Order: sequence, then C-alpha cells, then structure tokens
Amino acid sequence: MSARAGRTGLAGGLFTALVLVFLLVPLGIVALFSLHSSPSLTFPFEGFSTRWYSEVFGNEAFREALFNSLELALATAAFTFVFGTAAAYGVTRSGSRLAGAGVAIFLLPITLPLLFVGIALLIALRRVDIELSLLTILIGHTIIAFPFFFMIARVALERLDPMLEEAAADLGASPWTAFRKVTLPQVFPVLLGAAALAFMVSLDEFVVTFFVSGNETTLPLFIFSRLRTTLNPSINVVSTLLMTITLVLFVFAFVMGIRAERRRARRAASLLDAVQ
Amino acid sequence: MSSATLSFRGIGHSYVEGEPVLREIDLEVADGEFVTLLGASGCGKTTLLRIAAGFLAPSEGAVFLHGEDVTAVPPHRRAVNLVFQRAALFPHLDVYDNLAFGLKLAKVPKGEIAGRVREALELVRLEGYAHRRSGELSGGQAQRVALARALINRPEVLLMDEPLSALDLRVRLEMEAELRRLHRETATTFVYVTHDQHEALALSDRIAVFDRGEIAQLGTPAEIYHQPASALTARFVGDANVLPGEDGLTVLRQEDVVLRASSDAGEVPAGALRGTVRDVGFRGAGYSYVVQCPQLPEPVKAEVPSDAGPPLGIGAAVTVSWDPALTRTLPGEDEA
Repeated sequence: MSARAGRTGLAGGLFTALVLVFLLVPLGIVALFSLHSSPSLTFPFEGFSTRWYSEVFGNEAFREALFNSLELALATAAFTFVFGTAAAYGVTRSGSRLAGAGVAIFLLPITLPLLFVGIALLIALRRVDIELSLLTILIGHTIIAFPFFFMIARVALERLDPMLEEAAADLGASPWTAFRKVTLPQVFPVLLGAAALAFMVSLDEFVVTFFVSGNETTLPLFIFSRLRTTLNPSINVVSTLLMTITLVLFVFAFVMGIRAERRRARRAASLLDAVQ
Repeated sequence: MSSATLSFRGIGHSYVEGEPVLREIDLEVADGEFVTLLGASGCGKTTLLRIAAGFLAPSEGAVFLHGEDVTAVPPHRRAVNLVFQRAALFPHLDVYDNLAFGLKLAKVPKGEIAGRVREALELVRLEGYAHRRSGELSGGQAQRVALARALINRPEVLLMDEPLSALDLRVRLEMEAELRRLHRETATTFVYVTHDQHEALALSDRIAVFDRGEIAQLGTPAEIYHQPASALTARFVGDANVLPGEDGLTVLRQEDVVLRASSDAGEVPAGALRGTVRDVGFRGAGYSYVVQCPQLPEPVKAEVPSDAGPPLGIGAAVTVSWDPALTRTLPGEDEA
C-alpha cells in the first residue's frame, strides 16, 4: 500500500511541479529579458544589461504612467478601506433581514464582466457630464476593488465577539468610540492586508481603465500602447516592475493575514483555557 | 429599607412576535444591597439585567436610577457597569489599559488613573498583573480583572450576568468569597444574575426567584429556603420534595426525610411509607437517595448523613417518614 501511496504521491508532486513551471517560467522569462543586452525578445540570450531600465526610467510618458498608477492604487486602497469597512460593519452588525441582500449587492461587481462595467460607467459618466480623468479611473477602480475588500473585511468582523463592543459601551464608549478603540484595532491587520489587495487590483486594472481614462495613462495602458509601437525589452522592464510591486504587496497581505489568524488562535486557546 | 438605588416599575418585554419574556416586573433594589435574580434559563432574568444596563429598551415600564427615569438613556451614559458571563476583556489591551478604559473615556486625569488602577488591582488581589495581556490570565484572574474594570468606574450599581458560570468549581467557590468581600469593601449596590441556587443563597441579601417572566418570590435567602411560596421555588431553590398533601402540597426538604431499612421493623410505623431505593449517590457529607414509594406519584429524594453508617443498596426495601412539623404546606395545585 505504501509503495502505491508513494507512487501516487510522486505523480502528484510531479504534476504540481509541472503546473508551477508552466505558470512561473513565462514570468521568469519576462523578468530575464528585461535585462537583455540586445533589443531581441527571443532566445538565444546574449548577455545582461540594465540599458532598458535606464531607457524606461528616462521616458517621460513612463514616469507619468507609473506615478498615476501608484497614485490611483493608493487612492483606491484608501477609498475601499473606508467604504468597505463601513459596508462590512453595517452588514455584520445590523440585525436586519435586508443585510443578506446588502451582501449580494456589495459583491455584485465581482460577477459582472469588466467590459460591461467599463461601458456602463462610461455611459453613466457621460450622462452626468463628468469629464474623464484620473478621478473617473479612481471611481472605476474603487467599484472593482470594493467587493474583494468587502469579502475579507466581513469575515474578519463576523469573527469578532460582539460582547466586546457591549463591554466598551458599558464602560462609557459611544458607538463610534467603541468601534475606533475596540473593534478596529482587532481587525486592523486584516483590513490592511485587504487594502493591499485593493491596491493590487487597481495597479493592474486594464479593461475599465481603458474606457474611462480619457487622456490619462496608467502602467497597463502604457504597456498596451508600447506593445503596438515598439517590441523590445522595455515592455519587460515595466511588466517586471508591476510584478515586483504586486509580489511585495501580496507577501505583505499574506503576512498580515497569518498574523491575525495566529492572534485569533492564541485568543481561542486562552478562552478554552479559561473555561477549563 | 433605605431609598431605592435601582427600581424597575411595571417592566414588560417581548421580543419581536414572541411570548412576553418579562411581565409586570416591579423590583426595588436598596442602596448597597446585593440582590440576585435567580431562575432557570429562559425565565427572563438576563433580559431584565440587560434592560438595567441599557442594552435593551423594555416594551413596557421604566427603569429608575436614584429616582431618575433612565429608560431612554443609552448604556454608555448610564452610571451602571456590567460584568459579563465571559470576562470580555479587550484582547488588544493589557490589564492596565483594560482597567483604564472607562476612566480615560470619562476624562479622568492621567495621574489619578494610575492611582485608581493600582487600587482596583489591589481590590481584586492582582497587584503586579498590570502589564499582562488578557490571553495570559487564567479564567478566574480574567473574571477578577473584569470585576475590577467595572468597579473602578465607581458605578451606582454593579450588574453581573452569571460571572462565575464559566469557571470550574474550586475557582467558583473562591470567587464567591471574593464577591462577598468586594461587596462589603466597596459598599456598592450589586445585582447578580444566576441559575445556580447555591450561589444565590451564599451571596445575596435578597433573592428574586424568576419563573416564566415573573418574580415568583422575593425574599432573603433564609426566607426563600425555609418558606418557599410555591412548588417551583421549593424545588428550584431547596431541591425539595413536593408531595400531594391533604390540603394542598407538602414541601419536604431532603435532609428532613428519615429512611429506615424495612427489616428493622416488621410492620410500617404510623405515618411512614414503604418504598424501594432506586438510586444512591455519595455526596461526601451525605448519601443522596432516590426512593420510589407506591403511594406517591414521584420518587422521594432524601439526604442522609454519611457518618450514620454504610449506605443502603439499590433495590433495598425501606420505610420513609418525616416529622410533619418540619414540612411546609402550600395551597393550590402543583403546576410544575
């Protein structure tokens, strides 16, 4: 039996490894060719150089796109943090039967095709005569990132002991103070992780951005326009940058989640201890 | 009785579309008194406590604090504090900051806060625990911190919702003594909710026995124990036998039952009943018996001191008797 289990284990391991290679090798190649010394994007690899990095960073349009993208991602993270926390808190704390409907509505943007969101947003903005700008991109990004934040925040808030808020109220805290001093500190690491996710969603959003960007540009739009004109490693440089930022944020969100989970486990253990 | 600190007048409450959980509750708690609301789960005692704390608005009636109607005052503006069933300490704060929480909100000067936290920790005998996290405390310690966190605000009334129910027996007995001492030393008015009759008897100045949303009896522990007003109180508080008598119900406490092995006497003495031992358990100081008597609708419970000899076996034939002077007769039918 164990030999057979070993064989299936080996097969499973191989399969997993193949999938990972399949997923990661293209990313590795993109990163590798961002350092290519020649303009060619195909093998053979002719040597390392940082010339494409210098070229890209010397490019005014790129710097603007990078700056716009970071600004947008930061603003999207901040907006979803405020709206998403408020929505998740409202849904978890209201005893109303409408709370379930609220959850469905807040999650709706995830299920809609981005193309549809982009067109709908464009039509709506035209109707109310808002000019396309970074602000309209921000609105689009917030709509898309919101459900991701909301989902995570809701789970975190639902796991909290509502008795702690009552204890705070009993000790003289108004509802807002109780939220600020008792509820928020307990879920803050998770919310920070969720905000990092919103940041990532904004950073590489393309479809909706394409519709509502007007004359503005972001990193994904910059890559897209570059692809149509010049095919050289400068695109790899931008992609590698995007990838690196995303990876760093992902690790951050992950670590925040793990820390929150550990703290929760410790608390559960101590509670169990108290009961025994 | 001196002036009432906390009064409930005509309190009624029903949750949405349900049976009323509280009906016409009138209760006055005197200054410095220790009153326990005792009852089985679902009898409305916790609902009344939450109404006192301000977490629930009663459907009917009003709550008064020192004669002032506070029914519409939200919990954070009421001069009462509640100790929860679980300690409900803030996990992200250490003991010091848990205790200082209410004082900081009340804008008490920093220097004074430090002094009062120290006093409160001394009061619950946890000097040196100021910088522990709530996760590093035992159940009993956490509940003592919760008590200190409530008392440090010098509430008009300290409300407690089964604060000992999550603790093990040894810690619970320790905490009972601790509560009596805190009550004496702080001279604060205590309102305590429990389903444990031993706790109620051991702690209270007065007990209000709750039955299905109403106060079935209100009195001192001795009154409640010795003069139960209803079969429910007799059963619930004294764990007594309630037997059908000539004019009403006879309340017979377990320790007043006399059990004799039948072989002792050939025939049954006058007033005694024949019976069979169905169960026997060792309780340390005594044996507790369950005896089935053919003449009675339900088994008789009896407690016999354990130093009176070895226990009777299950199935043993016995006679059951008692001194009628030790029983109490209740009018009316048995509802329970």
